[in-house]
Amino acid sequence: MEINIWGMIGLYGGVIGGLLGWWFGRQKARKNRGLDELYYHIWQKARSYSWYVTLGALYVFFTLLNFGIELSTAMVLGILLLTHVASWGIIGIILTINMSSAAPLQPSRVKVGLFVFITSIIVFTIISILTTNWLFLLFSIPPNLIALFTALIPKRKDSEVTY
Amino acid sequence: MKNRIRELRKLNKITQEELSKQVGVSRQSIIAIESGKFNPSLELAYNISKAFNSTIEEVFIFEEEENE
Repeated sequence: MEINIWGMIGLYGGVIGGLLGWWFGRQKARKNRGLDELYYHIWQKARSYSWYVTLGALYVFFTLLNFGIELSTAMVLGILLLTHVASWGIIGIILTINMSSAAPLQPSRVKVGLFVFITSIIVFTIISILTTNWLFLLFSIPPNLIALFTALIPKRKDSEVTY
Repeated sequence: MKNRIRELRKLNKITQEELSKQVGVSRQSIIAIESGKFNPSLELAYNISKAFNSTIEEVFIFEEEENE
């Protein structure tokens, strides 16, 4: 039996890093009374939506299987894990930004951003499947982040600190 | 659900930060409630109303849906 050391480091290192980030984030939020009902509302919503995204990813994989494309277990599980965790985090951030700003999001920018995001995911998923190298999916992260942050951060006209 | 939080804050000269401290939530929560993006729980709505020495009905305006 051959053990993939780097795989184990990535897998469990990711869990430890994620838990530490989550713990420090909560500590910081607690100082600003951030662990309130809005916080739980946002992250429960984000988890709920991330299951829809994961369901969509499952259907994409089943469709690919019906087209006769062979997929390795590690690749499928890796992409599903990434899809679920990343969508959970990204949706949570979007909801937090939206809730924290009095200005509403701009629909046109949201549409463009989501179009770029979905196109990028599809293109890099196809490339990673055709090349049987899931690392190509990582290339989709920069365009996705740019698309999300330019589209989903509302314009702030005035500071809300004043009366 | 609409509310009069901004109006009452201006009247009482209370900032969002001060109100959030009084009711024990983050300033982001006050922003979200004030802009109508988030409906608070009954407990939080009561605490916010109490901060203005008002009743819940005086601060929050319930609007029935048109279909009903």
